[in-house]
Amino acid sequence: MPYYITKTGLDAFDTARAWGLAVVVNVLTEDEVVLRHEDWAFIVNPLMPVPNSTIASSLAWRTLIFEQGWQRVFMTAKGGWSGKRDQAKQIVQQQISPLLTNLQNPANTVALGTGESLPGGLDPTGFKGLRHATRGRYQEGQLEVPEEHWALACLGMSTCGTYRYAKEAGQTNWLVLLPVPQKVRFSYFRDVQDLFRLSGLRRYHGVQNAAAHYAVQLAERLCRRAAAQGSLQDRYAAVLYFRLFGAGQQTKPAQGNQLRLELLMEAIAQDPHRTQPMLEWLDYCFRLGSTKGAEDLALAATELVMRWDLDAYDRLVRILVKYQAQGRIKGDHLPETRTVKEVMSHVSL
Amino acid sequence: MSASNELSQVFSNPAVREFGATLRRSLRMNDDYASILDLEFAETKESFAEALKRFLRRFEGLARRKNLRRPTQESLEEMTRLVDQYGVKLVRAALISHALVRGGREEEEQMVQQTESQVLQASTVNSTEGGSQL
Repeated sequence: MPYYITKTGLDAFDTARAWGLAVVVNVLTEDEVVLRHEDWAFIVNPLMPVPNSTIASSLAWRTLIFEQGWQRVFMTAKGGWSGKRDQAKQIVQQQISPLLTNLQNPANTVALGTGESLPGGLDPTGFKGLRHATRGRYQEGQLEVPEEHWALACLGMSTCGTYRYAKEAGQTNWLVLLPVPQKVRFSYFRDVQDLFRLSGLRRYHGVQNAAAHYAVQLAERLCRRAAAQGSLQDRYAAVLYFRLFGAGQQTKPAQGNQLRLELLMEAIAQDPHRTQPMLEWLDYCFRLGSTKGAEDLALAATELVMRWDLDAYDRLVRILVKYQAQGRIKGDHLPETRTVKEVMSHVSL
Repeated sequence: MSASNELSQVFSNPAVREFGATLRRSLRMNDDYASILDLEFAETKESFAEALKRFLRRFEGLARRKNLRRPTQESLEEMTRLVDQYGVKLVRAALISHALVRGGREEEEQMVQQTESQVLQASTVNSTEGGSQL
């Protein structure tokens, strides 16, 4: 019996709810779960029917409390994050049965405006607008969502979201990344979690740079799996990203967007063995770009992964060839002709 | 987004391959950083032709010293035709891509042959000098 996470328009909130529901269903059934993305909803489909047993008795569920991600999700709550975490887990434990019943209805809706405040570390739309007094007496309250959906979203973000700390020009930043599934199948939610645990670089030049590198790393892992399994089993539609920055005593949201992954997924599906060297080479570009004085390379690689157009490709090869002339790239790290051809085959004019 | 293979076609063109390999040699054996800059700033067909001319002039010295093969007249004409057909940006991207890739076996063999001929030349000179001393 499928469960539907109908979209509200809050991208990160919806995606996090989908991941949260998939984790809950996986913990309850202890069997395979398929998470599918449609235009109007995320559909979670367990292979086994969900039993009536309580989720609190599950060992896997009890271990979820140790996830470091909870602290990040509630970073705007300052010291109160553990209380919020316990509250979210308690809500899931107590309200899972009526929630699952409700989510079986494809026409279920989420009534925004009452319930729990959406934390800024989960979705940047959770932040308020103006805080200072204005002539028009502009006032904006917190964005509140129903508590059971709030708890699901927090659980999904803490298990599947990635938070990367970056300090730039004396300013503290949190780069937040969340993969959007297209069609993902998993037997144990920790497998997906391990897939998303990618080692970041010491330095990123903005959240787009972090998102592009994350996309390449994720694609590389999927490519390895596809090569081993013979075909691409799991597909991801995009990586959602946004930046939070420290402004005095508060954390504020900055830019956010999503990086589409269709091109990389298609390339892997066609031929993972041919795509692998391309991804490794792009990863090397990001790694070299994170070194001191190589910002231009990092930004050019980011642009290519985001746009895949001739301008971006032209800029990247010009910068790389200059680095090569300066002796900053060793011979082993130069791409082979077939790798360059593979990149070119994806460039649009 | 429609992935195009025009760039791949230009990249695989024999004339671009020949010029690209020459640029690669020039870059690795002669530190010809200036040609890369010239190509980078070439926006129009005329400035691209000018950049190629300057590159060939710089390469000429290296080719004479190390007895390297120069691009042919036909290749140069083909490059001009490609620029007319596809524009500067696409041809430049394909050309510079050749300069970036790892050198092929042919190039390595050529470089080894050159080194061997240099060693032979040096040994010939030494033996001649040794002979005159006797």
